[in-house]
Amino acid sequence: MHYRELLLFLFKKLEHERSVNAVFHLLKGKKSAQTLQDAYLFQIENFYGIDRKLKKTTFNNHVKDLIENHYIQVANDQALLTEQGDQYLSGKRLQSYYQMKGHKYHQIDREFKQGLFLLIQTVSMLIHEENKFIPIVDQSYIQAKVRELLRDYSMQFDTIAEQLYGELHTVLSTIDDCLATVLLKQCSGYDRVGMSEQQIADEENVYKEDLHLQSIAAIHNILETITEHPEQYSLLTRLIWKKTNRLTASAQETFDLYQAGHTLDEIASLRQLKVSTIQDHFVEIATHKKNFNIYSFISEQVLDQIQEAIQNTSTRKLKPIKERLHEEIDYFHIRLAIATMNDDKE
Amino acid sequence: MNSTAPHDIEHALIKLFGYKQFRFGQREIIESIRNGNHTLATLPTGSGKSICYQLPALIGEGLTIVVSPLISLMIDQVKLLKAQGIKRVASLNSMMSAKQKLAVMNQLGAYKLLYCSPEMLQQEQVQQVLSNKKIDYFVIDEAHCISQWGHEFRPDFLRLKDVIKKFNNPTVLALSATATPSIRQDIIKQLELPMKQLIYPIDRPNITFSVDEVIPNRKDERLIELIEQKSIPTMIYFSSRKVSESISRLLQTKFPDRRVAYYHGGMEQDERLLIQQQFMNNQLDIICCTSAFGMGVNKSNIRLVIHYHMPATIESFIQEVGRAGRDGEQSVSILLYAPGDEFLPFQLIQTELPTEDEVNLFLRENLNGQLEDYLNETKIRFLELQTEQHQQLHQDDRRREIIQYRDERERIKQQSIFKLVDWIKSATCRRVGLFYHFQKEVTKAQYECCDSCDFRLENWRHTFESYQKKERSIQKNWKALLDELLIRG
Ligand SMILES: Nc1ncnc2c1ncn2[C@@H]1O[C@H](COP(=O)(O)OP(=O)(O)OP(=O)(O)O)[C@@H](O)[C@H]1O
Ligand SMILES: [Mg+2]
Ligand SMILES: [Zn+2]
Repeated sequence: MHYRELLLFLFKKLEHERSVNAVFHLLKGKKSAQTLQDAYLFQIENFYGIDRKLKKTTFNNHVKDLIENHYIQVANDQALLTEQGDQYLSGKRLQSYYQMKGHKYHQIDREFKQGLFLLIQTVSMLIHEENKFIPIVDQSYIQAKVRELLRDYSMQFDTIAEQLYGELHTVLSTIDDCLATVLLKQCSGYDRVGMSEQQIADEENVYKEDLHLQSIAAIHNILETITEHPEQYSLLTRLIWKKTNRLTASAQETFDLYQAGHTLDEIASLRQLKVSTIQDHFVEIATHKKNFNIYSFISEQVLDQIQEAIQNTSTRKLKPIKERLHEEIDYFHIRLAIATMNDDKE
Repeated sequence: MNSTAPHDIEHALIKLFGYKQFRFGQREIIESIRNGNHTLATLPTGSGKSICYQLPALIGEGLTIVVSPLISLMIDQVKLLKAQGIKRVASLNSMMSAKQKLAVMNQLGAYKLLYCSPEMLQQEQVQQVLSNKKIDYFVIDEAHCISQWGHEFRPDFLRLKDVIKKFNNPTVLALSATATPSIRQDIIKQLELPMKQLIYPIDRPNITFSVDEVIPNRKDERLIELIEQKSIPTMIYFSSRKVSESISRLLQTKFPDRRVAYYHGGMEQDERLLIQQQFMNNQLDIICCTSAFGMGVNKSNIRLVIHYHMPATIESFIQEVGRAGRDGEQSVSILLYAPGDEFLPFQLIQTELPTEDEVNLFLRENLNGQLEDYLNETKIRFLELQTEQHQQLHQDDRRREIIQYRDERERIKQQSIFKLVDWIKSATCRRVGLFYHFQKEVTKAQYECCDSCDFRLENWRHTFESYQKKERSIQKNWKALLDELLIRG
């Protein structure tokens, strides 16, 4: 699938309803209520967060190209398909193509891919008796997890190699050959460093973004199969670490520091971020985490007052609530209180 | 300070690194710092400067801090050491998350070597943790950066002297392959330390130098000709990211059975990592790169370094050429020059230093928050540093000082370009022309010397085997790839 086809498809879905940027936010997986709601509303949730590294300039270039090729027109920030665009799209079966599952996997796909690459590299090195090598993945937590996994297999490299080979062979046989190949070309191992997405794209004379769609689709396909049949894939499923975490990475970092005993102000200065940003994180944490103790920020009494005010104003807009409360209760407190009322937590 | 006998360091060299003997200069530098002398040392590119601090660090009692200018270089060194089985190393840099940094700082006791960027050492928390540690050595690798970058856009290089004091004056080692006498003076001045100087010649006798003058729009043609004739591991340097990419693509189409890639600072981290590892693993024949792939890069068998664009200083040129022939075998440097090429580096100065108008704008207007719309990052940092340094002055005097300083930096930069242009145009020995800036005598060339003396590229018959034919991965399917990876052949 080509990136531009996908863009055209998404513009079609949002035609007359949303701006060009809505598509950008969708692909990047912006953590806003609006973007998420839209994804479901327009039934494009499969594409949520499938290109989280997308740059605005890259996106704009593709859009510009679609305009120059007369597939779309942009007016008032909205993209409208031309007749030519409609025609082009009508011949494609995009939704089913590649079967991405962005909404389901956008929070675990990258870690899974990196874990997979590191596991393949490590096993490949070890069965060739090469135990000094530079890991292809830098993140220490991924390295630690792979190490842990190997330890659980009591370092029986041949056994692991056999099982990894078997599971990969089975799961890759269930997906499109092209996708499987794109993924394996990126893998490193003994005497071999994998290719980058850009290099494969250059070789196949397509855009890097086209190629990215293929790799992400490959990963989603694998994830779908192995989570449906975990008993068949006991090794690969070990590479799924995070149960879909709803916190943004930045809020997660704040949460980790908080759990390590740092105060809000300390975290702000540690991370060199504004206090207000860290407050946002805490609101996010309070919204999503069951075990988060809000009372270190507000007293039970104040919480009661705020909740009462909320009930009496029957709104979740902040200003009218604040006006009903004591001056010393600030917006941060109110937002925290609202957050505790979310009952869909993990 | 240290009473261990000299043979102990010899023993450590074998045990830790597997080398039988020290290379030229290494022992002297190691002994100098082990005796507690603050030391400024020069040795050529590829001569093994890293060991001069890694070895003492590993056998010392406390911690050694290594200040390194490029994050990629730092990350690389740490990975390499770990892969060699030397695990007690870590780095602190701006690419790490707060959590990762904390993890390192919380277990400093586990490390012998800590690589840091100068910016990182300015953070209060880092200073606090480190000042409570016993620090044996404080190493400044690529120390010429203090003088070259410190004054303009990386002021934290100039603040190292205060950091050293806060760390209770550990023994300092400053290392460089490209420090002229005046840069050496400046380093010592900036560090405010009495330093023992161990100045070894920095020329590279196994590299043959040549300049190839071409008609302006025939450069690509000439490059293709060169690549066609010389099927050997090659690096090509560019000053523009864009051009490095486009020439890389051009070469790939012209030479489908060679493996060509590009590398520059604008690429994403993981992609850079892959390309670099492919390069180290002999999976690439030709790499088109910018100076981001320079200092410190250590691959043994680069035979040819081509400069498609001229660099801005002789120092950068020597650093980049220094990637060649690190195994000691003959290698060649070719600089492609077309009349008018100097225009590009002159133009680059304008992107690095603020104009007079920009200085005025910066001082006059309150552009808080929207500075970036008017000035690039380098200029902003230059201006911020200057205003800070002239804080006590009256507005007008401050303005005058800053403009004066900016003019002086411009002049220095222009002069370095002129120096390199003079070298390009000169008809005398290239080696003498390059290295007399650094030392009085130039070592005799081990192979051919240069195009002014005895070298004709056409006659160069290298004896290196060229690479195996590129296997077209495009033809492989996943099953074959999986077998290759996970089945022991
Ligand atoms: N005593 C020695 N015997 C054999 N090899 C050595 C010795 N010392 C260093 N080397 C090897 O020489 C190579 C170059 O070393 P290193 O990277 O430290 O050079 P450098 O002087 O820092 O160069 P640059 O200025 O380019 O950074 C390395 O592969 C290193 O392992
Ligand atoms: Mg070095
Ligand atoms: Zn000569």
